[in-house]
Amino acid sequence: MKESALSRENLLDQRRELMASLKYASFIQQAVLPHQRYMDNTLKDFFVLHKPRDIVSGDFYYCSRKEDYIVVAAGDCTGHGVPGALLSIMGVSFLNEILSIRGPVRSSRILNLLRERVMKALHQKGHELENKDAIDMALCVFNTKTSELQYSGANNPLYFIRKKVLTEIKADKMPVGINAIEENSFTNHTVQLKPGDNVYIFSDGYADQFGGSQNKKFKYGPFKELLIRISDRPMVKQYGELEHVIDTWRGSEEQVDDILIFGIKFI
Amino acid sequence: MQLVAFRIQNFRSVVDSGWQQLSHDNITSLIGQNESGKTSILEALKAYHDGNLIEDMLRSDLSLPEVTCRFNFQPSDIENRIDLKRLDPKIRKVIRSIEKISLKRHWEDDMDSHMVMGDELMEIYNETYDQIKKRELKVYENLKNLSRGIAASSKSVNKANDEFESTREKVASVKMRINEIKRTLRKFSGKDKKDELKKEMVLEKEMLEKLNEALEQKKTRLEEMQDILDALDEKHEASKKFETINNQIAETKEELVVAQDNLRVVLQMTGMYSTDKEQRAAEIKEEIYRTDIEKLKEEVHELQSERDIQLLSLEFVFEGLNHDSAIQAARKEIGFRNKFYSSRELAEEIFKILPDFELFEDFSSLLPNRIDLEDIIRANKRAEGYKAAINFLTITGLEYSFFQQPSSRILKQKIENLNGEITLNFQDFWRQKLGKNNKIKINFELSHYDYTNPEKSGKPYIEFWIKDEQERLYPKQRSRGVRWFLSFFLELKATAMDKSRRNKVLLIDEPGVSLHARAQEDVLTVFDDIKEQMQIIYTTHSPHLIDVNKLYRILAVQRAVEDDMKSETLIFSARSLKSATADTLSPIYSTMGARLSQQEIIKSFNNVIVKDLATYYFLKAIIELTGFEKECYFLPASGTKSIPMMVNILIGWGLDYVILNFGNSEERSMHENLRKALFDNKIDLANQQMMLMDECMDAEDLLSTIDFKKYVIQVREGITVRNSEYLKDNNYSRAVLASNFLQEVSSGKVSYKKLDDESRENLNRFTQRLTAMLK
Repeated sequence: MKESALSRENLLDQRRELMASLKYASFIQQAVLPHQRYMDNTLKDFFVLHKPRDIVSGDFYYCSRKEDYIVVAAGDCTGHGVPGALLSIMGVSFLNEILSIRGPVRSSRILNLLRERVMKALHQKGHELENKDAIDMALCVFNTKTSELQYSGANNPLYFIRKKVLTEIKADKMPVGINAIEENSFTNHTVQLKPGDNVYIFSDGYADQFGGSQNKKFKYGPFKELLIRISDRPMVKQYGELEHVIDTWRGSEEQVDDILIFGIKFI
Repeated sequence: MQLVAFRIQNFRSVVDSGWQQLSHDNITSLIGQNESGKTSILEALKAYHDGNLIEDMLRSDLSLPEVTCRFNFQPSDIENRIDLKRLDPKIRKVIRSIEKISLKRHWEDDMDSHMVMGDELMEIYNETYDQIKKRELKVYENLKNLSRGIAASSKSVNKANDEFESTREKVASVKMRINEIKRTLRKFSGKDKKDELKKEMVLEKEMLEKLNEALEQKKTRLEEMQDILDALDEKHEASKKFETINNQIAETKEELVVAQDNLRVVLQMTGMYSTDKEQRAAEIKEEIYRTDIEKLKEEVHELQSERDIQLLSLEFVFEGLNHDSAIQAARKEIGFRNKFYSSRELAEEIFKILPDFELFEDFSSLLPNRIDLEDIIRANKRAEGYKAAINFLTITGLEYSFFQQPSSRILKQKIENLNGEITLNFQDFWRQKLGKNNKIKINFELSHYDYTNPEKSGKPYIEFWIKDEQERLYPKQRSRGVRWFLSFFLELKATAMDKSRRNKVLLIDEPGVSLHARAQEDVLTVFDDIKEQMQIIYTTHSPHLIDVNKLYRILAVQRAVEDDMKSETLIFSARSLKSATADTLSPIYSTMGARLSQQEIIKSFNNVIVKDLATYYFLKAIIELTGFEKECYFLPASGTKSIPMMVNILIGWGLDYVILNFGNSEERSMHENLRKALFDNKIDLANQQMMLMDECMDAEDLLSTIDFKKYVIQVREGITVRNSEYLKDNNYSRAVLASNFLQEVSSGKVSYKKLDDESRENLNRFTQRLTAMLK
C-alpha cells in the first residue's frame, strides 16, 4: 500500500514537472510568433483565431514587412503538441532568414526557399525510411503600393471574399518538406485587391473538428458559408463568431487538432 | 641507364599508381588540376632517390610507401661497376637476359628506408629467402618444443629418482633383516627355531637379489633420464644466448626509436626558431641525434648479424651438434651466404649507378640575393637558394676554400676578375629581349654582416647581382620570370659540368608558373634541346608547356573522385587520356583552342570568352533551352586566369570578342583587371565587350535551386546555398555535371517549358543582356 502511494506520488510529481516544462515551452513558442502590436501596425484590420489543442501547438502564423511587401502565412506542421511546435519554431526562424536574403519578394520563392531549409534541417533526401515531417502552409505577399496579392500554398488554400462572393485559390498538392515523388516549384498566384476584400488563410483544424448532434466533422462547406455570412462584419466580430461557432459545434467533444484561422481585411 | 617507368604506392594521395611509362624521348609532362597529386609524384620520385620521407608524405592510414623505378640498361652497365664475384650466378644469368631492371625503395615504420631489387630478380632471391625462412621456422618450432621437453624430462628424472631411492631403501631394509636373522641364529640353539630362521633367511636373500636387480635397473633408468635432461639443458643454454641477443636488439631498437623521435621533433621545429642562435643550437642537436641514430643502427645491424648466427647455430644444436661446434658451423654457412650480394646489397650497388634525380623547386633552386658562407661550407641544403648558389659556384669553378683567402684585398681582386668572366648568354634560350644584346652578367661579392645584424655580425656571406647594360639588381629585384629562367639555366649549366657521368632526371614543379606565355614556350624549347643529356619530368597547368604534336609525353593526373581531395590519385597515360576528365585535360584543350571533337571553330565575331569548360557547357545548354536566335560562339579558357591569354589570342588574330564573367570573386576581379588593362577603366567602352553577371556567382546559378536539383545534380536534398556553392562544398565536378546537363538538353529531356518561373526569368534576363552584347 505504501509503495503504490509512493509511486502515485512520483507520477504526480513527474506530471507536474512535465506540465511546467510544457508551459514554459509555450511561452517560447508565443515569443517567436509575431507580436500583437507589430501586427496591429502592419495589418490594421485582421484577426488570428489560434486555438492549440495542447499547451504547445503545431499551427503557427507569421507576419513580417519587407520594404513595400507584407508577408503573412498560416502554417500547419505535421502532428501537434511538442513535435509540431518544434517544427513551427523552425518554420518561423527560416521565414525570418529567407526574408533577410536579397532577392525578389515572391510568395512561391519564399515557399521554395523554406522547403529547401526544412528538407536540409530534417535531412530529407527522398529515401524510404527517412523523416517525412513537413509543413502545410498558405503564404501571402501584399504589395502595399500596387495592392497586388501574391499567394502560394502548400496543401492549404486561400479563401478570398469580395462582396459576399468567396473565391478559393487552390494550393499546390505538396507540403513544405519532402514530397511523395518529387518537389516542384510552388505556383505563384496573384489577385488585385480592392478595399473591403477579405482574405483568409487557415489550417485544417477548424473544418476537421468533430461535434454537432451526430458528432461529425464541421467540414469546409459550412466553414465557407460561415465566412461568407460574417464577411461584412469587422474582423474582431468575425473572430468572436468563428470562435463561438466552433466551441458550440464541439460541445463536450475533445478538440482533435490545433485550430488556426488568419483573416485580413483589405482597407 | 635511363628511367623508363615508375610505380608509386602509398605516397600521399597515391595508393597505387600502377606502372607508368615515361616518354621515350625523355620529356614527360604531368598535367592535372591543382591538388590532383602531380607534385606528390615528383616528390615521390625525389624521395625514391634520396630516401628522405617526411610524415606528411604518409597516407592517413599510415601504410608504408614504396616507390619502384624501372631502368633501361646494358648488362655491361652493371657488370663493369660491381664485384662480379659477389654476384650469384643465377642472378647474373638473369641480368644478362633482361633489358630493364627495377629497384624498389621501401620505407619502414621509423621512416628509414632501403632499396631492394625489383620483380625481375626477386623471384630468385625469394627462393633463397624462402628456404632460409623455412629453416628458421623449424628452429622456432623446436624452441617451442624444447621448453615442453625440458619440463617433461625433469618430471621423468624426478620420478626415476624417487623409484631408485625407494628401491634402495627396500634393499637396505632386507639387508638389515638378513643381518638380524644371522644374529638370532647365532644366539639360539633350538633346532626348530633354527630351521625356521634359515628358511626365512633363504626367502630374504631371494628378495634381496631381486631388489638388487631392480635397483640396478632403476639406476640405469635414472641415468638415462638425466642424460636426456642434460642434453636438453645444453640446448636450453644455447637458446638463452639467442634470447639475450633478441632482448639486446629490442632494447637497442627502443633507443633508436627515442633518438628518431628526438630528431623528428628537431626537424619539425626547423625554420620556426626566432633567432639564429636557437637555429644553430637546433642544428647541433640534429647532428648529435643523427650520429646517435647512425651508431644505434650499426649496433642493431651487428646484433642482427649475430642473431642470425645464433639462430642458425640452434638449428645445428637441435640436429645434435654441441653449441661450440654449432656456432662454428653457423658462422661458416652465413659467411658463405654473404659471399653473394643480397637483394638489398645488390640494389644499393646498382643504385650508385642510377641517374641522379634532381628536384628543381623555387625555394632552394632560385638564385637568392645572398647566402651565408657558413651555409655553403656546412652544406645546409635548407638554406634559401642553396642549390642555385652551389650551381653558380660549380659553373664558376669555385670551391668554398676559395673564400678562405686570408687577405680580403686579394680575395676582392680575385672576385672582381672572376666577375668579368661570368656572362650568361640567353640568346639561344630566351626570346624576350633582355638588355640590348640579351647578355647578362651575374656578379657576386663577399661581404660581412655588420652591427645591424647582431647575431651574424662579422660573419661572411655571398651576395649576388644580376647585371645587364642598364642596371645592376638583386636577383629578387628582377622579375620572377627572369630569376626563374636564370636559375634554371644555372641548373642546366651546372649539370652539364657534373663529372660524375651519371645520367640526370630533372624533376621540375610548375616550370611555367611565373613565366610569360612566350617564355613558357622557350622552356619547352630548352627541354627539347637538353633531352639528350638528361631526362625531364615536369608538372604543368599551362597549355604553352604542352606540345600538342607530342601528346605521348603526357601523363594525366587526377583524383579518383573528381574534386574530392580525399580520394586517391589516378594517373592516365597518353594512350588512356580519354578516361581522364575534361578538367584534367583542359591545358590540352586550351592548346588546341577548343575540343575538336565538338567541331568548335572560332569565328570572326560573337566569340564569347568564358572561364572554363563547365561554364561553356552550361551556357551552351542555356542557349539551346532558350532558343537563342543570335549566333554565339562560346570559347572556354582553362580557368579564370587564362582569360587574358584567350583575349590576347583573339586580339592577335584580329577577331571580335566578348568577355563574359560571373559574380564570383575571382571572375569579378578579373573583370575589373581586364577593364583597366583593355579599356583604360572606361566603363562605357568596356561594357560593349565585357559582361559581368554579378547576380550569379557562376553559370549554374542561373537555374533555380529546384531545377538545378532536378536536371543538373539529380538529388532531392535541401539546398540552402547557391548552386555554385553547393557544387564546391560537395566536391562535384562542374564540368561533368554541365556536360551531362547539355546532353539532357540536347536530347530534349530538359526543355524550357519544364523549367520553373525563377529559372525562366533568370535565363531570359541573361539572354537579353547577351543579345545586347552581340552583333
